[in-house]
Amino acid sequence: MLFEKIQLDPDERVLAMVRKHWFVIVAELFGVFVLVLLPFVGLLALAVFQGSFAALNFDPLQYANLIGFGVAAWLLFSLLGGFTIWTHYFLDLWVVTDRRIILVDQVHFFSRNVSVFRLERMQDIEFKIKGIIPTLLNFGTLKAQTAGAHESNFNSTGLPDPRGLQAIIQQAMDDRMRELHITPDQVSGY
Amino acid sequence: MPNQPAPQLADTLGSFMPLPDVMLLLFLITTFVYIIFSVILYYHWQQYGTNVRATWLTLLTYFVTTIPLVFIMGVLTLTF
Repeated sequence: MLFEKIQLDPDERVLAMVRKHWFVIVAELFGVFVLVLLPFVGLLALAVFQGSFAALNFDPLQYANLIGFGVAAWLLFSLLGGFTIWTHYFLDLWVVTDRRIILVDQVHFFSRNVSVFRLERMQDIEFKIKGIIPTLLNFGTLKAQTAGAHESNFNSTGLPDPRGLQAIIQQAMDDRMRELHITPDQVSGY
Repeated sequence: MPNQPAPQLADTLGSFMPLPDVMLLLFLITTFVYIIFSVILYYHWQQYGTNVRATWLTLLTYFVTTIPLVFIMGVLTLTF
């Protein structure tokens, strides 16, 4: 399991662990649901317009096995697609501790980015909630910049309660800087 | 030629390969893809899953929903 592999310091506390908002996965799985329904719509159409096929010298019942095989294969591949989407959703993870932010991004199978941002290196953190559905369901994008020789940013979309998450990170950053006796002006050169 | 019967789907496919053989070939390809995919999925959840319960629930749902479909495809292929 992943948590056994992320080595947290002995006294490091996990403040928040978030995945993308449920709406993101529901919206993506809706497409799979439509795909699953398609062969049944086709079968229904075949049953309704059975008489029309007689004129074309095509008897669907003669190909019942072939049609059944096709439907089963279609459903199987739709489900494989659905489980791929679910895997990418569930294995994407944000872990905020009192020392760092760990970003796990499961891009595809065999393509995975794990980024660690130390809180004392963070500079700007901003959130964006854009659109009707994100506003109503309270999810959006969190963007942050870190200081250092090689500037790096992170930008995560579809996060639930980005304002709350920003507050948690901001608080953790302040606490961390107080602990390390760093003033905000020192961060850029840190 | 007006008196010639319209060709059946089976005739068209049969000219390339007998239909039962086509189905068997498709079934074998599908099963191969399914097995490879299952191994990849299992590996990712075992390796990167953060919640034991979610991992097992996902894998259980996956196999419960997909194995019957592969089984149905196998039965249809063998009874064709």
